Amino acid sequence: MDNKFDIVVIGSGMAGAVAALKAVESGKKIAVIRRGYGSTALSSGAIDLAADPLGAPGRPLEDNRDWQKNLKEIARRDGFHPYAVLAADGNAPDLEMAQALNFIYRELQGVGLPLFPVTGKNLTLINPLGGFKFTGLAQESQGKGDLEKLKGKKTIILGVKNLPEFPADYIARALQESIGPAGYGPFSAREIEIPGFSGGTSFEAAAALEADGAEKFASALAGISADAHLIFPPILGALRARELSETLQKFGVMDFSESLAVPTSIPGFRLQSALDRALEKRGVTILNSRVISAGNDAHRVQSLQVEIKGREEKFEGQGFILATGKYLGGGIERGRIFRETVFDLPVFIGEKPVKEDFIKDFLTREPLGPHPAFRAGIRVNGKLKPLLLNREVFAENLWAAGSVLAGYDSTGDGAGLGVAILTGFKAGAEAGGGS
Amino acid sequence: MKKQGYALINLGWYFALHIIELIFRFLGKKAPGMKRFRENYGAEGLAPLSRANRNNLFRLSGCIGCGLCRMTLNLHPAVGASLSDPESLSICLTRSLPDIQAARASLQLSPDSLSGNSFCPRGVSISGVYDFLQSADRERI
Repeated sequence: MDNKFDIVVIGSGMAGAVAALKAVESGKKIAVIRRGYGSTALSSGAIDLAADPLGAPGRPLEDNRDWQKNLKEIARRDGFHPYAVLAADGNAPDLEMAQALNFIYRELQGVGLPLFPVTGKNLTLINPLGGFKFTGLAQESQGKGDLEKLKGKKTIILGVKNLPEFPADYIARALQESIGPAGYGPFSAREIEIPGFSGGTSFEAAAALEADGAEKFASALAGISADAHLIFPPILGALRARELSETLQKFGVMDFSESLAVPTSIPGFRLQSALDRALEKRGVTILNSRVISAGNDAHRVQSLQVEIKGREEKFEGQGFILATGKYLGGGIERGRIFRETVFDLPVFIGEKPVKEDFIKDFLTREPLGPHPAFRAGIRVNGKLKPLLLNREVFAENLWAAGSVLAGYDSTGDGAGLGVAILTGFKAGAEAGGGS
Repeated sequence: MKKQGYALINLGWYFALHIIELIFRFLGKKAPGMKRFRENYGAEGLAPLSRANRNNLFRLSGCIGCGLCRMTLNLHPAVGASLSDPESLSICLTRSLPDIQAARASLQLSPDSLSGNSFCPRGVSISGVYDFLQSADRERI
């Protein structure tokens, strides 16, 4: 194999994939090197762009705001957030996000994963825990379940026999009690059976549907209710989602959606698979290998040492994009010390560079609280070039994107995949020549 | 000089004890440790763990049970719904008596089905899990 590329992207989650796809536009030869899947494949299907920084959990639905306003508010309030870093450099992250969304919308549409058209307001989607969350964008099959659009409409939560991870009765009751009085719903629950599914997780349920259970399943649904919106568990196909939707429609089930997911997440896997297909379609080389180390000289990254089938190989490039994620993806480690794993870049939590610091100092007492440790990452300038402790640029030909960046919690801030899309888009454009 | 003398006396004393132990072992025909381990635990299916296996277990403990390996490698049909992630498989195989039979089912997997790329977010090698299970199974009486 020829190991020389124009741009090498490390990581293939949302940030890495968007960066690679954007860089392809420059006509350059692109490779993606990844150890495995990252947190994108485990995501709920919601593509969070910007949650309201003034919001509090459990507040009334009416407070849902425009994501672009939220984004600007985040950039104004939180100086370490990637949105703020971009804004401080004279960028307009809200407008650039609109461009980036348009871009990823087209790319995913082209490989058979339609996204729900983005509007100003965040979508309000239900989750398998009996609650709901605001999110900027979602897969079409999930976005159709926007509670705002279903206000006053009879909504049936469909449980699947032998699928305990989606307790439809509980979800319907919780929604009815929490938001029913505000005019949403009414919510009720029904249990259905998937032919060939005798128990397990949503993965097994989706596999049974994809195997040969879809038609019988759809025909059983046809009689449930014509005037109600049906909300399924997130099981409508891992790789054949479109065919399953068409089968449902063929049997007259027109008004339906999927809820958000928890891992094992079919929508997350579906999203990552679609990104893979988009990369393949654009001719990007994907290598499933681990980067061991990087070869740098003064202010330039020259090459990467990559482990391929137990051997080390050298990959050379003109430009490199670091999109390795945080703890889950492996971009940031906290074993004995806090560490960025490829280039050994300094890791920050807020203003503070961290290395041998005690992890407990960066955790709060509440399990779901805002743990500063989850905001650890590398610091970049407005062009997304990683910075050293003295704030000098580490290398002229290295950019970073996604949750390896410091200043935001990709799982808890309500901006996880939004930051990945925006920074991936920008890093890809910069590496490709600033187009 | 005094310390050296003390060390030499200690060394000599423990060497003498070792010789005496060897004599008693020979006379009593007491089995070596590994054999005794197998006699005691083999019937229950517990295999001894080598240092390499222990290192493997540490690496496998990176599993977060996300289920992506089942999605990408189609592991589930062989191992059953309740034992589906590499970590629980490997740990239960070696130490958890009630789950041993269930874990053994994973050895029915075709190694070919695991030879593809691993998509694990934590970098756990699924084929490594399989190799580990096999080596542990070979150790069993």
